[in-house]
This record gives sequence, structure tokens and C-alpha cells, in this order.
Amino acid sequence: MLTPLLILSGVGLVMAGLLAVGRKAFAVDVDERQEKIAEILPGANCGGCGFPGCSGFAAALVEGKADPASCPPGGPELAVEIGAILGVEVEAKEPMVALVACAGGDGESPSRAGYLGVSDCAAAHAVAGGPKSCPYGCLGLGSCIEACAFDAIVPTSNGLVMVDPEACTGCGKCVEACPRGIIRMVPKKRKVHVLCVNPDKAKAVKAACSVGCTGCKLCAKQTGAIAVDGALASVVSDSEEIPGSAALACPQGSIFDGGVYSLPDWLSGSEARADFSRRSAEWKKAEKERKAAEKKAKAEKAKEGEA
Amino acid sequence: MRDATFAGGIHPSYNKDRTSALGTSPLAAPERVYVPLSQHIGAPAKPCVEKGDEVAIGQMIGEPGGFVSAPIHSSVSGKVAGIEPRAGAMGIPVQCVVIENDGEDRRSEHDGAGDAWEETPADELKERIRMAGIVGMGGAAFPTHVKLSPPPDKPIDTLILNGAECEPYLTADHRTMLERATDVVAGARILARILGVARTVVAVESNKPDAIQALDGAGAEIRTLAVKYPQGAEKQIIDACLQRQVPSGGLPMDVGVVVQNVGTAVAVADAVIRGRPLTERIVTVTGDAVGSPANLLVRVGTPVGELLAACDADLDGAAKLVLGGPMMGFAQTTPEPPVTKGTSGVLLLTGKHVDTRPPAPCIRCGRCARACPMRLVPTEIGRAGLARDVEASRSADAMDCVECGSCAHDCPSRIPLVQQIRLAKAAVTEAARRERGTR
Repeated sequence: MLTPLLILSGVGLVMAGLLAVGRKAFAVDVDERQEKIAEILPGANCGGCGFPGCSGFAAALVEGKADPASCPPGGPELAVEIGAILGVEVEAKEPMVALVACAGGDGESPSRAGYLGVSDCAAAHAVAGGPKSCPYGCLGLGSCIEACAFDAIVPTSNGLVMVDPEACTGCGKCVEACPRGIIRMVPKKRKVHVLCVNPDKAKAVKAACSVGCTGCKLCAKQTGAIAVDGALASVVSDSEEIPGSAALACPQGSIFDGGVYSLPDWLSGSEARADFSRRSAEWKKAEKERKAAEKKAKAEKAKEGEA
Repeated sequence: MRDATFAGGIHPSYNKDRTSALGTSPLAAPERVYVPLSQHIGAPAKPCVEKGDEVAIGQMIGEPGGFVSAPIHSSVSGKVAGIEPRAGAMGIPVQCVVIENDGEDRRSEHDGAGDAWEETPADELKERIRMAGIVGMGGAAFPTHVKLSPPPDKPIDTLILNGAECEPYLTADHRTMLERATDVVAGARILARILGVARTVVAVESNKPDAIQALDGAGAEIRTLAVKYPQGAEKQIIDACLQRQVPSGGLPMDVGVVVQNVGTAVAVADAVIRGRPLTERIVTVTGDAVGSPANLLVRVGTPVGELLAACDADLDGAAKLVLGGPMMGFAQTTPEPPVTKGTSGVLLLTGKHVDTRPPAPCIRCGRCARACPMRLVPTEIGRAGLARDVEASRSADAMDCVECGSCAHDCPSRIPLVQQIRLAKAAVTEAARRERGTR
């Protein structure tokens, strides 16, 4: 009666001892900071940091291999929190969002042929260069929508797609997904964008799309923040505020001014476009009058000098 | 003997009756030709003329841009008006030499070898073929001299001349075999001499009995093939004629075979015997939107629109314009592209022949797998392609797909399987490129 009891208790004791020793001997050293960081990360596993998922990022952080500010969905607040856990000073990074740099919808850049194939931008692009008149413009089939883990990209009513800057976390997955390279990362605070990526010269651009950039440089005369490379304008600096006149000067209406219009209105609304045409014409008229007055004043001054 | 064939394949409606009995008629050379510098697989030719230069028919206007490349020759006599991009058959602009035709049809003189070719060294014959700009005329336009230069460790024992013409609607090869049977055989003998092979087989589908008779009269060894698509695909025609299977990722030379199109053989005869470079070809213009279909002898560089106009085509009432055959040809958005050395047909179809209904879900019927001549499972590769899954694409042997379109043709749900498979192939190619880059 007593023997089995003793055997079992003995075995139990020996095992407990082994477990106790084993726990010490084979302990896995997990930095408690890693666990803490993993808890506060967004957990979307979007890969925007460049590491395999959020836990991979946490591990890289404690090893000092990652920058605390490189979690796009978390933004600067999270960077500061991570910095506090790691005990390092964190520089706040400019929050970035994705921008689909094309405003040529069905009305502006019509289809040159019917497309009945696979509903995938890369597949459509591979068929005779895509069904759209513009060989560089947004095909609107939504390969970027598929790639977005945050539902931040939505289709517009006229065959384009649009990034909602509030929902966008800046992970950059859509940039990779777009076979035409139309999507780019821009500072969230930037309000004025050139919505065109067509590098062709004016004649070809006008044949392909009614709102494409022709590289005329009129915008660049209004601000130093927009530069024209080849035959395509783009915003190159955020150090100065871009004046509304830069957009108004564009004869093609390729420049979107977020200070005046909302992006959905601009992309799909003819009202916003009509309003822009009116304002642009007024501005051009005023500019002409201003220049004429300037010229007149100059001439008078010269006359006075002669006299 | 039973007609030879392969496993798999399909039986589309052939629609060849409207043109198969029509003799080839030359199309008047247009006022301007747009001769693309890239009409072949491989490096584009480099232009060797300038704006304002006078050129004659057969004069070289583009030099080969490498070994896997081919020279380009003028197809009219006249003045070079410029070198500019123009819409190409693939939907993207291609560099073209634009030549203003003076209508005089002057020829630049090249000496042919005449009947002396039988004593000419093989290397010299091959050089003549290379400098005549000859490429595969079945559609893929692979430079012929490259196919004639197998490495020494791959002995070739058989030359197959491909006269299957399994693509529906097309009758260009059929007419070539009928009207130029002697040159088909002469070209075949030249090719056989270069390759040093003892056996040459001309393979023709059994639906062209008149062509078989003509070639037989000219002294060729004929292999009659069953009527089935894609009987004229390289690997399938080798399987049918010789019961040899080209290994995965391999070439016909791996099983001791070279396959050449019958039109290519005629071009070889023209180049070697008569010293004429490749500047024109037979194009079948047909489809239910074409009023008077024809087999036209066309100068390379003639815009497709001119062919359609000559054949009383109703472009406005048409739903689809295709260059090549309906199975593997390329749909066009404009009639601007010029005819190239590889353009075997121009097909204009009305809405009656173009299915615009959207695809439906796969019902797992397996018809695509049964149709596949490469014994693949198209839906499996397609799924991998849509997901850009490189591993799954590789394990489903995506790269073995020859894009013949049999699976998509037989799919009751109208799923664009070939397009999906192309995504898989693109993903595998891209991954392979990356792997090479990192090593």
C-alpha cells in the first residue's frame, strides 16, 4: 500500500527537480521590452517597416536593427512610445500618405478599346499596353485596392481610384502593387499635387488625356516648389507654401489644390472642374490686366525719366 | 497510315473555306511604308539609312543588332521620310523607317547563288539567310539563322517543315504550299544541307489534300497530320511526326529536330537561289466583317488599314481586329500597325463572333486540362498567377505553357485562362531575374 505511494511521490519530486533545473538551464532570454513593444504595435502585419510582421519589427527594434519611427501606421506618437520603452530619443518623422497621381478618368482619358480580360491592372497593362488612351494613366481595376490592408483606397465613379489620406497609414504596399507606378508617397500635410505622371511631350499628352501635364512650366513660374523635369511637372519641395495661383495657371488643370477642393470632388465632379475653369479664367484675366498695368507704369516711368 | 497527332488539343471552327481556294494576289504597294526595325524576337535592328536617303527594294535599311536579331530591308523604292515611332502590333509604339514610295520598284541587285547552291559551303548559305533578314514566318518571327546554328553537342537528324497551319481562318501557308511547292522543296533542301540532316519531313494537316498532292509532286516526304489545334505548335508537331517529346524547358534541338515554317522555306529559296531578301509576305485577310476576303502578297511595312480597304472591310461595323490567327493573334485598337515579316493574317470580326459576356465561376469540369496539349492544369496555374504565387506557379509548371489558348477556348465559363497564366509566367520570370541578381 505504501510502496506505490512512495514511488509516485518520488517520481513527482524527481520530475519537479528536473523541471526546475531545466527552466534555469534552458531559459530563452526574451527581452521584456520586445514583449512590451509588440503589445503597442498596430498588429496589422502590413510589412511597411520592412520586417516580417509586427513581432519581427519588435525583435529588430530591441536588437537595434530598426528605426523606432519606421512603423508607418503607428505614426509619430507610436515612435515616441517605442522610444520611451527602448530608452532612446526619437526624432518625429513627417507622416506620409499615398497619392494616386492621375486624374484622367473615363471622361478625360477615354478607353481606346473594350477590355474584357482579367480584372487586374498588371494583366490589363500587358494587353496591348492597356485599354486606356493614356499609356501611363490609372486603369482603375483596383490592384492597389487589393493590396491595401487598411481599406484606404476606394474606386471613384469615373474609373479611377483614390487614397483616403485619413485612412492611409503610409505603409507603401499600394506603391508596389501599381504596375504603372502611378502611386507615390507624399507628406500628409502637402495640399497641392500634380495629378499626372505622363512624361510625354505636349502633343502626345493632349491626344491621350484632357487633364494631362504638358510640361509648359507655367506653374513653375508661380512657385519654386514645383519643378518641371522633361515634360512633366511635380512638387519637389515642402519648404514653402504653394500658392493657389500655381494650380490656376495650369492650362490643363493638372494640378489639384487641396486647399480649395476635396479630392473626391476634384476627381469625379464636373462641378469642381467647372468652378476651377471659372476661377482660372478670372485669375488669368486679372493677371493679364496686372501685367498690362505694370507695363504701362514702366513705360510712364521711362517717359518721366526721359523728360 | 493513320494521321499523326498528339494528346490533348481542340477542334475549333476552322473558317478557312472563304479564302483557301483564292489564289494569292499582289497588293499594290502603298504611297508610304512604315518598316518596323523590330520585326523579330531578339535585338531590334539598327537603322543604317537617314532621312532623305534614296533606297531601292531589297536594300538594307536596318543592320542586325546582335546575333539573335535580323536585318531589315526596304520593301519599296523611294526616299526615306524619317525614322519615327508608330503603333505596333503589340499595342505599343515601335521605331519604323518611313519610306516614301516613288512607284518605280527599282531593285537593289544582290547576286543569288542560283543552282550552284548545292556546291556552296553550308556556312555561306547560312550567312546568305542571315543577311536576307529571314525569320520564322509562322508568326513568332524567330531569326532563322539562329535555329540553323545548333551547338555541336546537339546533333540534328531531322528537319520538319511545318505546313500544319492549324490556326483557324489562316490560309497563307496553304496557298504557299500550293503555288510554290517547288520552292518549298528547294528551300527545305537548302535548310537540310545547312543542318546536315538526312531526313526532311513536310508535315501538313489532312484538310489540305491539294497542298499534299502538290508537294508530293515536287518530291517531298509528306507526313499527313490529323486536323486538330495546336497541331502546328513546335512541340506538338514533333510529337506527332516522330513521337519524340521535347523536355520541359528544352528546345526541339534537344531531341535532334529543327522545325521551320513552309513560308520560311520559300523565303530561304528566294534568298539563296535568287538573292532576294525578305521584303514581302502572304497575308490572309478575312473575317465576317471583310466583304471580299483574300490572300494578299503584301510589302512589309504596309499599314493594316490598306489591306482592309483593299478587301472591302467594314471597319466601323466590326467588333474586333486581330493580327495573326484568332487563337494566338493580337487584338488591335487601331488599323495603323504595319504588316511585318510575321503577320500571317488580318482578321476583322463582327460582334457575332466576339463573346463579350463576362467570365463566370469555374465549375471544375476539367475541360481545360483535357484540352491542354502540354498536359498542364490551366486553372491551377491561373490561380497561382492571380495570387502572384511564384512557388505555386513553378510547381504547376507555368513556364511549360505555350499560350496556345486551347484551355480558354474550351472553357464553358469563358475564364481568360491564358491571361491568368501569363501573370504566373511573368511572376516566375521576375523571381528568376531577382534570384540571378542577388547571387
